Amino acid sequence: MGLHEDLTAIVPDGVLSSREELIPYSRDASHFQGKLPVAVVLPRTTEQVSRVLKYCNDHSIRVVARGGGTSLTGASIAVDNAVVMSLLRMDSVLSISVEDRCAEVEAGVRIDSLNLKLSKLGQLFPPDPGSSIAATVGGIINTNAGGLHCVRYGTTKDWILGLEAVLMDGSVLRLGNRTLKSRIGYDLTSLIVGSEGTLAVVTRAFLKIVSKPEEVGRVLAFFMDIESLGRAVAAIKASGIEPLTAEYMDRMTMDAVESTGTFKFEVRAPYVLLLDVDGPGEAIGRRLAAASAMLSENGATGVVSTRDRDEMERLYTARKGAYSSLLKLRKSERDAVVIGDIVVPPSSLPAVLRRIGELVSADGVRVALFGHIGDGNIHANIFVDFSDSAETGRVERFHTHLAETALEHGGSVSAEHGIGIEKIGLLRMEYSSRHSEKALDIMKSMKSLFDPKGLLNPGKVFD
Amino acid sequence: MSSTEQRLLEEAGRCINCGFCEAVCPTLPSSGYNSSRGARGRVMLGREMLDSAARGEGISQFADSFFSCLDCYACLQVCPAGVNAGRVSHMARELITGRGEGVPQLARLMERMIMRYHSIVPLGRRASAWAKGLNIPAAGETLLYTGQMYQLMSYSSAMTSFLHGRGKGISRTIVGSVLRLPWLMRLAPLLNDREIEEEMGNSLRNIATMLDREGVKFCYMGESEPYPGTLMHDLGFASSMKEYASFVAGEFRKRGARRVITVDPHTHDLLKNTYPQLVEGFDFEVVHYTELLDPESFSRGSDDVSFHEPCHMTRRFDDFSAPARLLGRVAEVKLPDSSGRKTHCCGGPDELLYPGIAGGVSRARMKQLREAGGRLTVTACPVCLLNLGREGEAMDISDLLVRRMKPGS
Ligand SMILES: Cc1cc2nc3c(=O)[nH]c(=O)nc-3n(C[C@H](O)[C@H](O)[C@H](O)COP(=O)(O)OP(=O)(O)OC[C@H]3O[C@@H](n4cnc5c(N)ncnc54)[C@H](O)[C@@H]3O)c2cc1C
Ligand code: SF4
Ligand code: SF4
Repeated sequence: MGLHEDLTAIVPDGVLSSREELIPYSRDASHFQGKLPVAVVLPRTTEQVSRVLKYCNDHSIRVVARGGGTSLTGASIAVDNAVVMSLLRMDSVLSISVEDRCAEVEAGVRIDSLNLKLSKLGQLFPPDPGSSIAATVGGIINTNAGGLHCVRYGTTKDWILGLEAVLMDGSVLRLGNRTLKSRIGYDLTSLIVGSEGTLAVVTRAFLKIVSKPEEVGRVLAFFMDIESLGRAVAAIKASGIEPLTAEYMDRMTMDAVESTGTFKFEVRAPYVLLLDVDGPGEAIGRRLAAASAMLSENGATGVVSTRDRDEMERLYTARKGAYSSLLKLRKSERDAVVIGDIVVPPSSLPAVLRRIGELVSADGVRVALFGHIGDGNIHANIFVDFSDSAETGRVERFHTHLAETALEHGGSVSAEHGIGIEKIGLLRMEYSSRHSEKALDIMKSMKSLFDPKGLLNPGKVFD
Repeated sequence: MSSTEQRLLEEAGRCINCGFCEAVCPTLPSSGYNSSRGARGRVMLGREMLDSAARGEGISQFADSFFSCLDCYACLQVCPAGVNAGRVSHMARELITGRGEGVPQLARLMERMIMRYHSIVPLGRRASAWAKGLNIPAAGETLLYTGQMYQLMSYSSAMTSFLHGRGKGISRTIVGSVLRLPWLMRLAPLLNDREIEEEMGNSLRNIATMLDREGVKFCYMGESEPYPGTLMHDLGFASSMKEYASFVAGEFRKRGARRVITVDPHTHDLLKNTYPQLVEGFDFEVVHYTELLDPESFSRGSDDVSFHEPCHMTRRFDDFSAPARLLGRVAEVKLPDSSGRKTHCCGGPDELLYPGIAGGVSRARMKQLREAGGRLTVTACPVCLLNLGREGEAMDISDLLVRRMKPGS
């Protein structure tokens, strides 16, 4: 039998193989154009995942796992001669226990739909990437996604208690547990978190959940220069106010957001800080006022606060869609946006942001800046027309300089989007700057333990 | 490049593949998560189809992706780049029908029926049976225009089953004959579902009664009232639709109409938003019947309902709140999580060509409506009513309103 028939025997009604059906799986949200998969398989159960993987392993067929396909680094694009395994059919929330602070879910559950269910029980799964409407549990685990809540809650790795994961040879591993503690040898759960689909296919997860903040208030503070914005965030944190989010956008990003009609900013200034504070209903007004006063004292030229749900939602949606909105500012449809995703200790932010301003002028690139400033994460969105070799060269130079700047200040070249195919070189750069190239060798050896034939998502993370 | 191709390229070209739209597109889960039946896939395939056309290759292979789109515009609500995958699909269908390549046979049949009989099913007297005894004049300044939408619902399910070759004794040969010889569709009235006919007729009578009690004077074209062409427009038969819309507008004029009262969201949307672009000098005032009903004329009852807001109401207009206002006046209204501009389609637009997808969408929606907690689902569209009604108890808003209209109103 052929591949299609063999896979159909395992997943009836769950195999796509016509060209038109395959095309959508060749790309993710990055600018990379992947290959056309040889087939797409959509399993419903762990058993089907296991049998498909075993079949592909036996026949030396590559497999790329895919969730929401929102990766920004090419992590989920199809590679040559690969079967794409979409986990979207595995979309059940299996159990939620408020008492145990745990939710058991399948890998294809989207983050916003999970949180909608949890919110009815007053609970929250904190990881909140800008793509949460579409990103899946399996996807954010495999990219160790961050997002808007990191300043308070950390990244995805802090919220994964255990996993069900399937290896290329078909074996099903149950790692970690549904309990808040479990010391059971090497922490293979954590190893899989952030592995970008190169070690195993995640089918289920035990997620840690928390009580939802009682009430949230949102402050918008406008700044004339980035250093004062950085200082204001530092002052807020030093004061003991623990913001739920602390996001910033530059003028170009605000213009892009406004051009989509999602939100209109009341004040016209070069930078805006979006800060969420939370607390019980009776305290929220006081906390908002305190945060607003502190931002004004620390250089904000205009401060607006709101507790209106609609307005807060529009603002949050606008921030979450900032990257996509930027695409409206492309000079032509040929233009792509390369995202620098560096992180530095928050205390170095003013210096790093100043340096980035200098690099933008020196390297002659067009860049929009926004990011999760509360945890020191800067997204530099660099416009590039890849058909213009001079411009491509300038962008590559800038991207490298950006990464070097992060390393010089004790930061990292990749904060949350992962490595994919885009940042393979930068990953090497970071380990060699620490004289730790061997770490990469260890990673490769580990991969070969999980996937001896190197069939799972090859060409990602390292070449 | 034709202007449709250019507009398609412009719309699809803004997409950056973020995948947000896919997460809310109702046809994606209902097609078993086949991305080519989801919003992002449609946008990608729209670009791909233009490339194929430019290379002089065929485009029929893309048809299923675009014809299975519900035109519900859920995608537009979440796209940060303002792309409307529904519009992409619509333009793609126009290109496909324009080239005559890959057009589903059933779509062609519908076009022929509408152009020839001014309806999907030649209903004859059955179209106006609901108005019997109401003595509505045949001409006047204000026209009550049903567009046959309620009336056609009683043929919808059986016709779909028949045309997909399902049901006792229905062979591919019979279906094939109908597709080749559309006049055989004149026999379609035999497929009528009496119970649904009665239910839909009641709704129309309720609407007429309420307007009358509100003091609105109106006329009705009776059995010669033409169907508005909704399906033909949705399927992308642009040039036929232009011609047909002029015909319909001409019929309005013949009756001396200046104002047209619509009763369903599809016709309302089409007359308000599309006809003015298709028919030169289309200057009729178009109002939905709920906009003519004064909330003060209604009293509150003890009903506890989940409200399904039709896509063509909430997403095609900036503010179309008259039905919700009236409903809120008479009953305790529960809204599902997906409501307002984020409402969820009932699946109806896919019923004819992709009944499997339509069924999946309406099941998903009915589940949400049940979870909202109302004892009963209420909607304001015959298409939604029929599709949701298959999955549970559903009622037309007019049936509830008429019961709560104050005496003497
Ligand atoms: C507009 C936008 C905003 C974003 N904002 C943020 C942000 O704020 N913070 C942030 O961290 N990221 C952000 N991202 C990128 C982020 O990495 C992804 O959105 C998300 O984590 C990926 O989830 P997904 O389900 O789409 O995974 P996919 O893109 O489908 O896959 C991502 C990787 O995980 C692997 N994978 C997926 N599912 C499985 C599985 N079940 N088993 C094994 N491997 C699997 C894939 O092979 C791939 O390597 C954003 C993306 C977009 C488009
Ligand atoms: S939401 Fe918009 S930009 Fe994102 S994939 Fe869909 S159409 Fe493209
Ligand atoms: S209009 Fe509706 S069915 Fe069509 S692509 Fe958009 S969300 Fe999907």
